[in-house]
Amino acid sequence: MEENELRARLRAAREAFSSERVRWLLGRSRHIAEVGKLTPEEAKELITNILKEELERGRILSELKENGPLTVPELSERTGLPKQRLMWHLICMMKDGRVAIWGKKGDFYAFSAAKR
Amino acid sequence: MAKKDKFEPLIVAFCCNWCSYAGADLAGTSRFEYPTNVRIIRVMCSGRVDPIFVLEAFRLGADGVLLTGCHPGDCHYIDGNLKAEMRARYIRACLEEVGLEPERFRLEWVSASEGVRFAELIKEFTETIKRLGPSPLRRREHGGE
Amino acid sequence: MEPAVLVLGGGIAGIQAALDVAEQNVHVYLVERSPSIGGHMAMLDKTFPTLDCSLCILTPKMVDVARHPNVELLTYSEVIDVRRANPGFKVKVLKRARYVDESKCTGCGICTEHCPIEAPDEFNMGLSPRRAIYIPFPQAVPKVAVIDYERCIRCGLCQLACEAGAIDFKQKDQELELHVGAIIVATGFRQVDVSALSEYGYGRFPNVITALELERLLNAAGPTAGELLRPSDGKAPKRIAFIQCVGSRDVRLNRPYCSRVCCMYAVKNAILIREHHPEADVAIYFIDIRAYGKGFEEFVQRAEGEFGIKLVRGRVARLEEDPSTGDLWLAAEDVSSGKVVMERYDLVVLSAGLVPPEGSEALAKLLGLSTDGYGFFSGPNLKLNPVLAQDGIFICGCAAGPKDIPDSVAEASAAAMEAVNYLREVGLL
Repeated sequence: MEENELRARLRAAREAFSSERVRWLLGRSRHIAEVGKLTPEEAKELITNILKEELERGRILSELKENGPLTVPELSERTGLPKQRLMWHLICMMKDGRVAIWGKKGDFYAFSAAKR
Repeated sequence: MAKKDKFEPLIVAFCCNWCSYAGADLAGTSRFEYPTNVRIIRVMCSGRVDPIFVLEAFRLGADGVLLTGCHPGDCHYIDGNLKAEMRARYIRACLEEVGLEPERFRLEWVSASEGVRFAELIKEFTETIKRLGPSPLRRREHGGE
Repeated sequence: MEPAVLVLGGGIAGIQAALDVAEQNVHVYLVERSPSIGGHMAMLDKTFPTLDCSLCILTPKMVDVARHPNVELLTYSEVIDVRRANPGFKVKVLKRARYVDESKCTGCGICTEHCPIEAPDEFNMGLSPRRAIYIPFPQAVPKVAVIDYERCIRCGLCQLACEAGAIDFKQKDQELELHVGAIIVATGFRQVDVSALSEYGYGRFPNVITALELERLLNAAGPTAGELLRPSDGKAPKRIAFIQCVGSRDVRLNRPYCSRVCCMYAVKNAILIREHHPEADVAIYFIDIRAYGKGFEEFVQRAEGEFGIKLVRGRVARLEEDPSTGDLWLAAEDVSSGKVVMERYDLVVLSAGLVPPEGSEALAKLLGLSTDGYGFFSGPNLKLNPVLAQDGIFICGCAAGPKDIPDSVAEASAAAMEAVNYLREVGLL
């Protein structure tokens, strides 16, 4: 794999493991596997899937932090993620305050990492 | 290729103060030899190690990361090592997603009396990393792919 | 037996009916199957033809009905059995477990921030996420969290976060038995399933959306904070088309009736888009423009004149997508020019018709109600008594057929009056 791509992915991983969602989930994973509704295998699968989701979101966030406001097509080119999946992630991150609509770049709306 | 033989892995090891660091110390005082590729970072407990530390180590160019702690049941802070074990699972899953070989990260239990085991572990892990080759972030230094 | 009336459905019609009965000093049970009252009106952005903010005019009534001393609000509840009791009815209501103690929950929402499980938000038509524990919308009445038990993994993070100690995983569904003198059915409608019309590509083409989805996108509290982003790529659409009579006046789907509100809501939405985005080109493709009510005709004139919205008389045959851009090609006949047109649009909105909500058939059976051929409740004398379904059972709002908000409210008050009169008739008052 290309060096810059790996660097970008590792930055994304750092974002993901900084997210409240992942941190709370990992902290609670023993409880989920033992006391919750899921079997240990189901718990591991669920947490891994959420982790993958947050890795994609972490990638979006780190791209926005490094490169300023970006449109969905720009993000798609940089991350390789399909545009509709990007839209869903962006809407989710708008809901929890990590991302905001910055304005327009030409005909497209651009998103930026929200200031905390 | 001659250049590839020259690859010396850069390994970061997080060792918990009470068991595994003491074990490393014992290896030292007993004069058991082990490769110099490892940089030891002492933490009070393996449970202190945030997955972000491991990822940062890789991002900054480590070829391998080792996390050592007390055997389950022996943790000075009761269950810190159990937390480390749980986190290790998801660190490995993350490395796989990111595209790094999960074998580059390892969690092992080493007690204060296991000087030999510590030395053997470092030898073995260094060999593993030599086999896997340099991290993609360091391939340029080692003559490309 | 204390005189009481059961109102089924907590939308604007049910709320109005409940308020009117309660004001007559009669006890009301307002049963709503979703976790909050408000119905579809709570989802709208602005209402036609006044362009009132929908929630601004609805929420005072929601609060009034919740606080009224004569009203007992039973949300997240469903009627499971009805028997005539002469006089009146014995009704069994299933009060579903929220797993949240209503008496303790303060509606702060902290639990929703900690839940790791995401699910599509029904209130936002699936366009944005909610969590497994959620508050339906910020103005929800009651403002109490509810746990979607199917998706909940029992991690307990909500319980850890809740400072009021309101999370209770041991909660159970409750069965209540009510004795009421009369029943008012105000169960509303749902939007027709437009994916049945494959020629419009809903579900296949991301930039073909329904009217309710557009309402949520335009709403400042919606998925994109009121900015109109098209679903496929976040482009600000420059050319937008509305297609009327989708799932209405349609013999093929056995829905030959007119849904009454779509012409007006499409014109309203077109105006809202032109207000937000004056650079956008908006066209409405219609069979007829039905502007029958007070202020309706003037509203349509305003749309054409002041807002420059193109009204094109002509049926749309089909939509085709340009997969490289997500743009849509619309093929229609333009009756005025007599030509077939092929126009390119960034976004197409389907003005979907109104059909009876899920569970209507079962409810009709339970109550022994007759329906028209399309599932809407009906009665013995619709000309002179449109709100009477049966002895002691009254219907109002869209449950009795598509209609707008003023008509729903008028019928609700009529049903309330008749219900109270019925209580007197049978000696309960």
